[in-house]
Amino acid sequence: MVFKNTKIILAFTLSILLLGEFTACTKRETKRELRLYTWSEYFPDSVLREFEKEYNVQVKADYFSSNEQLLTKLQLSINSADTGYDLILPSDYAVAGMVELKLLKPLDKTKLNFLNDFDPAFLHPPYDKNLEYTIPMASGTTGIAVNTSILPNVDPTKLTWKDFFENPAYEGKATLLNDQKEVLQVALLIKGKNLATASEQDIKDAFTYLKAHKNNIRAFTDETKPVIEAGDCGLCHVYSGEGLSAQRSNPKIRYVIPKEGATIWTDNFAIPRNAKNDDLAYAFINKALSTENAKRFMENMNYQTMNTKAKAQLPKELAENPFLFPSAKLGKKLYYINVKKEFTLLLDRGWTELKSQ
Amino acid sequence: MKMLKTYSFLVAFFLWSPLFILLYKGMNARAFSLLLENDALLGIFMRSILLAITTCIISTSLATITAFALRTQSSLGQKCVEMGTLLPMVLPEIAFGISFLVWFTKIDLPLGWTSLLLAHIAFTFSYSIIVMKNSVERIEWRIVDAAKDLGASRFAIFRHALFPQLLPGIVASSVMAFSLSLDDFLISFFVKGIDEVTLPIKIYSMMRHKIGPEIYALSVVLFCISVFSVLISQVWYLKTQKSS
Amino acid sequence: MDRKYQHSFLILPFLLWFFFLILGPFCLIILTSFFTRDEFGQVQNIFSLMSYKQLLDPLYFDVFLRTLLLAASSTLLCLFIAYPFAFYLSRLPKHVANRWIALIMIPFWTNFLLRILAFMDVLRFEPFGITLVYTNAGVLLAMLYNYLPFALLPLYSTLEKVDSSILEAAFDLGASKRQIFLKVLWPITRSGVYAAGLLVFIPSLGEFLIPAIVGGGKNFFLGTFLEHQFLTSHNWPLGSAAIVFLVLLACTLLPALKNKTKEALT
Repeated sequence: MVFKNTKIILAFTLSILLLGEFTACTKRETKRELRLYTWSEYFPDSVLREFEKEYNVQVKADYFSSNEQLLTKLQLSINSADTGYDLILPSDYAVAGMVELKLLKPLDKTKLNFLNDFDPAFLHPPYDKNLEYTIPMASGTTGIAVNTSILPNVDPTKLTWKDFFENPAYEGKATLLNDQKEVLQVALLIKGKNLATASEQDIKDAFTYLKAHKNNIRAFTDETKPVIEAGDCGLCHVYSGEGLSAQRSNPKIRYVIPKEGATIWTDNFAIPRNAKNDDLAYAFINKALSTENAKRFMENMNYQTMNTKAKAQLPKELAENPFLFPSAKLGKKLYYINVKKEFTLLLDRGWTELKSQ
Repeated sequence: MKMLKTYSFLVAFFLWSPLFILLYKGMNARAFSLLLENDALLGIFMRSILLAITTCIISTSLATITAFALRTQSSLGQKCVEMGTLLPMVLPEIAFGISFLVWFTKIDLPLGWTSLLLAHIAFTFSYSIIVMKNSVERIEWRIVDAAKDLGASRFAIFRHALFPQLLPGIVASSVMAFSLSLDDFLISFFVKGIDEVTLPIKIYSMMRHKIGPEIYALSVVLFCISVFSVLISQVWYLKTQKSS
Repeated sequence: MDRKYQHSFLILPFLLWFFFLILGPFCLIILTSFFTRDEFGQVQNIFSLMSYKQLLDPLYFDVFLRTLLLAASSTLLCLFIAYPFAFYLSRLPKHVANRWIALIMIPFWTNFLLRILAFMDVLRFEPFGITLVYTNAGVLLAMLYNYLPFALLPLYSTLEKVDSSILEAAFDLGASKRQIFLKVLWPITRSGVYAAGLLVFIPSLGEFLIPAIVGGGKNFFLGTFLEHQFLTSHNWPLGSAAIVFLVLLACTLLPALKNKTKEALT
């Protein structure tokens, strides 16, 4: 009736649709960009802005909350010419899979300028013996943050993982990370095994143990910092950096590594196969592992980085922290998460069973 | 009746209780000064608003066109459209998000503003159609016919006879699409790619370590916008009541 | 005939939206559910019913049942709490009721995530000393908090149409309050209640954030299960099969939704 003139409607519709595209144009930049995919807390905005100013580029940072998420998004973006990532930060156990799937570019170590200051202990990690594809950025452990105001009778130094699960005094007071590999590692440690050497039966037994001892567990969470701060847990399964940071702001919280040992992990820089801005990626790696930034990182995040000069510059309380820089003795009880890919389905099933009661 | 009144107040209090906490944490000078200094956050906020506005404009206009189109369809066609409209509403958001991710990757659509906008339009469109369909069904065509008979130009007919009747529906649809888009986390999480960050995504990533006071200040801002628009709609409603 | 042809192209936006943005992705999901995955989680183009067989495994079926239970109890709780509230509003003069409704809607413009986190703070007050955070009860309350308006608005819309004179007449005839509700009010508003229930039930099935954050992620619900399958386990076929199952389930409720909402909202 009224809309007899079809041209009007067509024009209207087209202009509406163009509006959608127009709004996208408002953000088109002419600078080159570095596309970074990392843990959210590692590189605060200030560091990214500094890098942007220095190289006159734009840094686009995307954040993942687990390595599995990183792998998924990486796989989805690997065939894209324009919207892939330039620099990613996988943990040690994710590297093997990425290498096998040919998702990474080999590193050109001549482009790295800090190798003289690089901690020799990390030059030949088990998952990338000659640092062909990755370069470690930070390392930490996964232990327990004990909240002594909630559990005043605990001696943190004598804590064991066995206690964590079996001691009725901790009923409903413990939280675990929402990470199937970390949790499984803990259960294996109680039996004196670890993920790298575990057999199929060991893993099955570990899951049986976990299912039988869920009483003490209050929640599975990756938001450990707010959970600790809210006082939701007396024993909190946590990464060392967050545990130590909590300890620094609240002396009632103590980060410890239980008697049976713990996971040690590294987060590593890697460059995806379809990265476009390699030079910027290398520049960022150099900047992140420079003495100055490494030092800042260690002070803020409480994880160790691989720059020995930076370590030498740390204040005494940090340099001598036994959990920030584990001794050789402690190092014997620290194990990398190294899951054989044959066990992936087994892990998955066990985890679903654990979460289905 | 008095018991019901007390009961209602209690329920309202229950619904507002978290808001009191947010306002309490956000209504202080420090929070606001941090917010104003945080260019990145303000940028993300404006970006999300832009996305929401674009979504609601496109969703509502296309829904209006669809509502008019429905009038000329056979009853079978109408039933099909109804079913098609309801189908997305029974899909959980997370399924939407995942489906879009897989689909957009498969058809090689780059993940960014376009994918984000398309996804937002996709899930708000159903709601817009329902509202606009309702609105178009209630149009009194004799007013339009009268205007035609009086010899008004096509544009004048639209502007004075048709558009005012559609306005309540357009407003309702826009408000709904706007709030759905602004609040959406799950779908945006999957389709945004690296180039876009929306407000809910930013809040989620801050949840892991610390939610700064500037976020609470931002929630106060959102609260004020909400109150403001509700007041406006109340005033406008009273005006229409008076005139009719 | 002429007129029909002239304007039939107006349906184009709808068709584009439906086929390109709804059907396309969904068909891809259906397709994926029939494939298999390798050890790395890459989808292989091998046809198999494995993921559907897996769904029947009591382990995974358990997740569905738990989710159904949560959705059903959330729905019942919402309806139960919302009905008296909606009734009270319906007896008020329209402009006063509108103010109440506006009051209810205002909080919902602040971000959902923030509201849930703030709600957790509310739960931490532990009224009567009951711990609610990371419990099923806490999750239920959070669902109530989030979905109450979804139930309230359609219920109000239905109850508003009930003429007070009917209720007064029944009262004058000597009926007790209970009888008025059971014999007069309920039969009239029943379909509206079903509509409101469906509006809460169906989205609750896919709820992800509330079980994950408030519930402490101790148990898998459908939402967290799907997230786990797609992002962590890389078991896309299984996740897709779960989505297909959910949609089929919801589709059986679709005709009911269509009829009841039509009655309730017009």
